[in-house]
Amino acid sequence: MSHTVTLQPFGVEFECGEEETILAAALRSGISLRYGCKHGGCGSCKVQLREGEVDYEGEHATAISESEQDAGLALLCCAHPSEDVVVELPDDYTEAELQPRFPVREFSVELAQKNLVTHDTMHLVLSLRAGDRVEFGAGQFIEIAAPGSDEWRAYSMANAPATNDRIELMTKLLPGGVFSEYLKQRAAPGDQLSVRGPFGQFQIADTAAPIVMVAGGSGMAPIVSMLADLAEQQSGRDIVFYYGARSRRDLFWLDEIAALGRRLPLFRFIPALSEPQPDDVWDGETGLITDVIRRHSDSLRGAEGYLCGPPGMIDAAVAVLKEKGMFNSRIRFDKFLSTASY
Amino acid sequence: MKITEAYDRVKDLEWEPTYITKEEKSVETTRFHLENATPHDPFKTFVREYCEQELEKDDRHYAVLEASSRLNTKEPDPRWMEAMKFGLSNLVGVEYAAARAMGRMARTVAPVELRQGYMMQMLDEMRHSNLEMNVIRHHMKHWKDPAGYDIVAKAGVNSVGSSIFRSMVEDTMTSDPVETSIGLQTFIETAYTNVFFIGLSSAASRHGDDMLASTLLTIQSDEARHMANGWATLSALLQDDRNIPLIQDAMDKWSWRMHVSFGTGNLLFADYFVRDRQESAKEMMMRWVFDDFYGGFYQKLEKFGIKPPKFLDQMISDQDWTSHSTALYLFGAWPVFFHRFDPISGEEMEWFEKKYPGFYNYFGQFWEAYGACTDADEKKIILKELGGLPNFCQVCHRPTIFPRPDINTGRSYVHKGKNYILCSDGCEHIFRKEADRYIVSKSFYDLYEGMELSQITQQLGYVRDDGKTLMAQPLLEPKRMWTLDDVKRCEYVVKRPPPPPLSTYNPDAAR
Repeated sequence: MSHTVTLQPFGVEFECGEEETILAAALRSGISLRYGCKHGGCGSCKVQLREGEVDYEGEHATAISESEQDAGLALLCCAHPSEDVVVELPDDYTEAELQPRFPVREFSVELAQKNLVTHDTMHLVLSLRAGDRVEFGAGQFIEIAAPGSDEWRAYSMANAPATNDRIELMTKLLPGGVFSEYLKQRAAPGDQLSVRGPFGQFQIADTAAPIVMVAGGSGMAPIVSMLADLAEQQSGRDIVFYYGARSRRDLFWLDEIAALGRRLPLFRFIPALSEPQPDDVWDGETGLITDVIRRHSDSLRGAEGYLCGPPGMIDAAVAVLKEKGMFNSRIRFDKFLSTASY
Repeated sequence: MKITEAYDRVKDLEWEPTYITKEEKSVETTRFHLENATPHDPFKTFVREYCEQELEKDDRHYAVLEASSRLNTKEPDPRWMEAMKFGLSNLVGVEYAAARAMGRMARTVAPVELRQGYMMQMLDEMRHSNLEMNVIRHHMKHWKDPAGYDIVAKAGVNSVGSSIFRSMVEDTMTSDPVETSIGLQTFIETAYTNVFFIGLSSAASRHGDDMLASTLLTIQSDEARHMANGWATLSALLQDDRNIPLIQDAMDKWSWRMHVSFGTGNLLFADYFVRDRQESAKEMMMRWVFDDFYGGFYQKLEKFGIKPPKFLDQMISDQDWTSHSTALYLFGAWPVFFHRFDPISGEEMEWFEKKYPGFYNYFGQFWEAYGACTDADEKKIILKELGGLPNFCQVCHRPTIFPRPDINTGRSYVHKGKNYILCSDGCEHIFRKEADRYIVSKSFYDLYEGMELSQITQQLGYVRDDGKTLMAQPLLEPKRMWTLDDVKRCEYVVKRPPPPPLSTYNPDAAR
């Protein structure tokens, strides 16, 4: 059973299950509250309750005394709501800091272009209504309603956040997929589609560390968006982008990436084919992307890794990055799920 | 009244006195710039609430102690209980020094927003040293062999092994007060206390030492606040660009300083003081210190221009051998310690070989030799068989056997016409920057050169009440306990080894 938590003085509300802590529910709902240790030891998330009871069953809430509890204080990282709760946030909170980085909303877009970029990958351009803008971070995704069904499909944005009058996506066309079949058979420029978002935490950390990007298949999308964003910011960071494809016919957007590379002073793009076909014209890397990363990297200590693609590829690539000394805490990834399992 | 409102009122009590100068008021000055900083107040807690919280924690903890001393639960593991005589000798001093350091911080440099946090931390640290002293007292009363627990406080001051921690603590608390905060709150507390207190507490629990397990957990419950103090201090410092190179220097120093003290201790404790092993000490350190702290925490600082520590790669690769080299020292020099030793078994060596490939090749021989030198009637003492103790580092007080005796990086370095011995690039880097901080400390050889080993043990006071039997024994249950006469019969006179080759370290090489 869930209860409503209201954050005053802003009136921001979210739902919290009895099994969940209020802090965890807030973070899950995209609301940023202040916290420290997250396990009851520091008191950084201590707030005044105005209405409602909480309990600390099964938690180790040491940073709050009984008399504080009697006075209506609560430790949000350990508190479970027993009923609807109203929290009075400390007065140096601002409404802005509670908000997710970009507002989540549902809106209409028009299918402007659909281009097959490989035999099974389609690049879509969705235009927003005149005057409408979408705010998102490079690496985030949106959900799109599959026409003729009540299902939603998730895709990462492939364009830079600066081009906010449209959304570009890359979709892998899967046989029998509800959205894939629509795209293959019926989709036509001018179609109206519903989207909601943006979602997701996959984003480039604000540091100066070298960057290693690894993608496979349509995992290219968020990486291209990140590259475009870095180019937009005139980033001077050292960036290497490994892209794994099966054969030459699965490789796309080489010109677009080369163009982005010209805007980034320390950029290398290393595509590799795992199963080149006899008639492929190719003088680049071949073999598994993991072996290619291994060959091209010295120590990756201090570098950051950003990976997007099928789970198997990500797991294997993460192992190679760690083997090269990359800290686990500096590896971020977005495993995409096929429509079948989504 | 709302807490925040009340809190602001308390802050308004801050005033600048007219009857003394700023310098007189603060006693000490700092080279860091905090004059324009507007720190974020990490906690809003009053002393009344703070005391209630801590009282609650103490009530829970002492209830455990009280209960377990009456319940006669299974005897704890003797390897663990004996090793903790040495283990605990290192800790109380750290806590007490930390309390002093917080007093200095609050007095000298703290903007009003940070002062409350520092003052509470000062009280925490006093609480921690009391808790740790109480564990020692408890073990002295209840462990079957109290000899050694009764002199832990003294040993913390005179043991050559404890000098590794002691020198680090003294280094921390005599630094610039802001640098003390970086060393203490950012490195000891943020980087190392999780692996140390949580990891050690879990090991204590696995070995039946509930008292220490509970003590370490109740201590760790305060550490998150200390980490928040450290972060609030760093964030305030980062607001002023002039501080960036100063912070970088301090972080480069303290990362290495903790690696050779807390890091070394943790690797030794977690690999050699336990019998029931789960992860290797290196695996724990990689996850909790290197991934979390050097990977995660440092990442937050990079946008301010802070770079990873100068010797990061060395710190990581050292861990392949640090625990084994340290154990070789501790076990090899057992007569100058004050606990019973329990050498590792063949089965344990297999485990080590799996976790640290190459282990047996480099350390197998030592353990065989150790096994051949445990019988007092054989008149053979391992320290003599090994060729005596090595040199000691002027900065960290570790012997110059790191990362591994055969590839040790000990070197001589001449400062103002006098030769000093250092163990590594990291310690040499620290020494060159502030040699005067380190040249006064006396080495083991300055104190004991030319003395016969049993005289040293006697002088240290590590002898049982009968005046002749050693506190330390090379086995948990030797056939016959070693006496001063047994040691004397081995005829080992402490001789200073020749100095290592001159340093070739280039401090200007790129990081």
